[in-house]
Amino acid sequence: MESGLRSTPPGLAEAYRDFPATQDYTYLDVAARCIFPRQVREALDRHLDHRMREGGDKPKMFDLIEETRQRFATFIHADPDEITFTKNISEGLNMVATGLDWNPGDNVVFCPELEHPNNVYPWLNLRRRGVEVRPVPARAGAVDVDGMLAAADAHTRALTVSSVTFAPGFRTDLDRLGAACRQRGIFFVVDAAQSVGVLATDVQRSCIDALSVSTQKGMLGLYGMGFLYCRREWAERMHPAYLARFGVDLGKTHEAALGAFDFHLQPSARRFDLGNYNFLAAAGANAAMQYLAQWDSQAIERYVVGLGHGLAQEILNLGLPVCGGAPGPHLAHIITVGELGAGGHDSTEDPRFARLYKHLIEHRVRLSIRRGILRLSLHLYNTQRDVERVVDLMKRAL
Amino acid sequence: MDWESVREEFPITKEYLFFDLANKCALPRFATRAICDYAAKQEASSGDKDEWARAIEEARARFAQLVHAYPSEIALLKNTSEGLNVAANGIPFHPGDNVIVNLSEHPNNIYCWLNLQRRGVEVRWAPTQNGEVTLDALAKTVDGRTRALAIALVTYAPGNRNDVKALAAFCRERGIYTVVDAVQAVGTLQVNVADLGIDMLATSGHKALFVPHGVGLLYCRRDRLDEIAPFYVARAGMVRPAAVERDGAQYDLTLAPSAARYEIGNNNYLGITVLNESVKFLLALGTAAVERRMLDLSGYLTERLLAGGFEVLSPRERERRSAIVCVRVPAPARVHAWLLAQKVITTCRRDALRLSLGIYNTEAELDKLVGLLKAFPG
Repeated sequence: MESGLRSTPPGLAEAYRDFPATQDYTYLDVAARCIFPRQVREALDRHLDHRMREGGDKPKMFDLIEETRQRFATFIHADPDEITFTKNISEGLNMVATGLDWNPGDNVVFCPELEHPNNVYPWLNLRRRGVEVRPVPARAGAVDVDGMLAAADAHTRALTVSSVTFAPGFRTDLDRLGAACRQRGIFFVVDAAQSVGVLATDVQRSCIDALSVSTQKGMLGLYGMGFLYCRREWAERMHPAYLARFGVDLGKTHEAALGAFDFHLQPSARRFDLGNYNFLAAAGANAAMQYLAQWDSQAIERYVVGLGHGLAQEILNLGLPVCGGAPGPHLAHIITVGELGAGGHDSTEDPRFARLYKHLIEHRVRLSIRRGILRLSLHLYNTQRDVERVVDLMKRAL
Repeated sequence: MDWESVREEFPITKEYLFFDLANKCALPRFATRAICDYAAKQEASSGDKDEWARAIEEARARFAQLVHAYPSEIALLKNTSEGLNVAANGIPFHPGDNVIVNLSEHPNNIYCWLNLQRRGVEVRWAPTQNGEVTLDALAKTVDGRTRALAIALVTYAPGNRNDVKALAAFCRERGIYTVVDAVQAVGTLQVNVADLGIDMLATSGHKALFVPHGVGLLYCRRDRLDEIAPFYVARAGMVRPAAVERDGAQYDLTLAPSAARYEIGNNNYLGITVLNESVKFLLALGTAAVERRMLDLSGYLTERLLAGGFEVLSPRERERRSAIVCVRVPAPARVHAWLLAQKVITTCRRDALRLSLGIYNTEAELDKLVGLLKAFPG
């Protein structure tokens, strides 16, 4: 951790000053949702003023959409045409799951016990079209990369995984899965809810074919908006189940005689654009990406993961069970404490952890319980002081 | 009704003559207040998801009241297009079945149906008369394989009302689903889904419901919910608690028995918080009073335009017109730009100038507008 902090560029450890919530809270809950920097709040205010006093200039609003699309594309090393706007991760995942031309007998490989339910249902939904879902068991709380690849066969059309699981928060080796999928022609879908904005994302390096993310977590924006990346080679072969005017290439489409209404789809992922955009959330997302781009994404990752590893080690030193044990490559910015599965989605059955949770909450620490375990998640507004404070509070509660 | 104090809620009226509600609203004060409160809370403490969850159910119940539905018949989506696509993908079509649309629909109520052609569904075009699909036109277009009628309650241009009640009754007798695009009616005219006898209705928040873009609403009649399966699925649409959280192997699709089955993922909590305020505002004014005011204003504008020698493309009869008045002008784009320079906001649609009214507009503004149109230097 010390070496991680030493390589921090000037300013990153001071980022918390831009986040008013850090004055009142030790905020360790980005895995649920973010707090935003004042720059995002200001962008929302500017957009609102314009909408209230002038109604809103539609060409300018569309420029904002294209600027935001471009910024996100740059953010993950994709082309703007490969990006569409969604309402949330679920919409993006449903778009690609229903957009592939499945044949009965095809299969999809995934690890349902670790995926968020929203990256499970869209695939289960394909069973009615004769698609087989192939669940691969987790190994020690992590996605079993070898097991996933072994489960894939000649009929495997898609393989899906979270970049970082929502609980226990381990990192998946996307590069290895992606390279293997690319080689075998398998559509590689990533639920990146828990990583984009915190961890560096490169869809080219990781050979990702589709990536769905929403803006309210690591991307420091509002609920109600997300992005779907779909690689050109796949998107161009897809036909969106949901279609509206923005998905149609009007330049190539003509209104012919009645009943002979023909249309051409927009290039790449733009064909998935559906109806009016959430302009306000786009203004927020655009400002948030501008904010994050002040730093190299690798530097943000090093800084936050450094803090995370330090926090995990300190908690282990207290004699508490950190999921995954000693920090290693499996661990990023989400630290979980307890025994996975000892509770419901957002509760715990272990009285010791219930007490610990209550103590932290009472001392203005923000965190979550997921699947029975305490979840502490970090972003660039966290500091070494936050780590020390929360460890100190835990010590006292025990 | 004190329309002057209603007008006070809309800061746009201080600087502009705003005749563009059919495109998008200018936000009222109560909306921006709600948004600022929301943003302040997320900035200060990331916000309270329980509070948002309550806002969602309140907004759902209020919107249901607005359109005379049950809350369990309402799904909260992202826009009208999403609702129409839920309908198009959910209605059980078989190859050889057909759906009836018409050329006066907004493109977003056409492409979702054309998209079914690849599944062997035929798209049939009902003829229109000045935007309207008559019962006679419908009767001539249906056949034994017709499964659905897609139709606007009010067209986006010229803003005529379709007699949806009569069309839906005709469809119901023949087992045909009636899917209504109500985005140009909700918030300005009274909409009663029970009385209309329709099966589904889609609309958005960003026009006469005074919500920022990103909120859509879908009504699905209770007795149709089981027939119309959601095409996109997520946890939000499932019965809770489902088997999902504990043991992935037990996963199954346990669809909610309500229209929530059509909802996916996290909601646009901010937008829905505003929707909740807006519908409260409209219900307090009373939908009958709002409709009366809107039809009075559109009637007044129509008269003034006719008296000024203009050709009005929208219907003149009170029961057939809406809050939209389309007028023929020599060069709509140039007139539109010139009016904008005079701080008058309008839209061009289908080679005409579209003037769409809201509860904040006044007769004096309409006089001024007609005066300007007459003074257009060409």
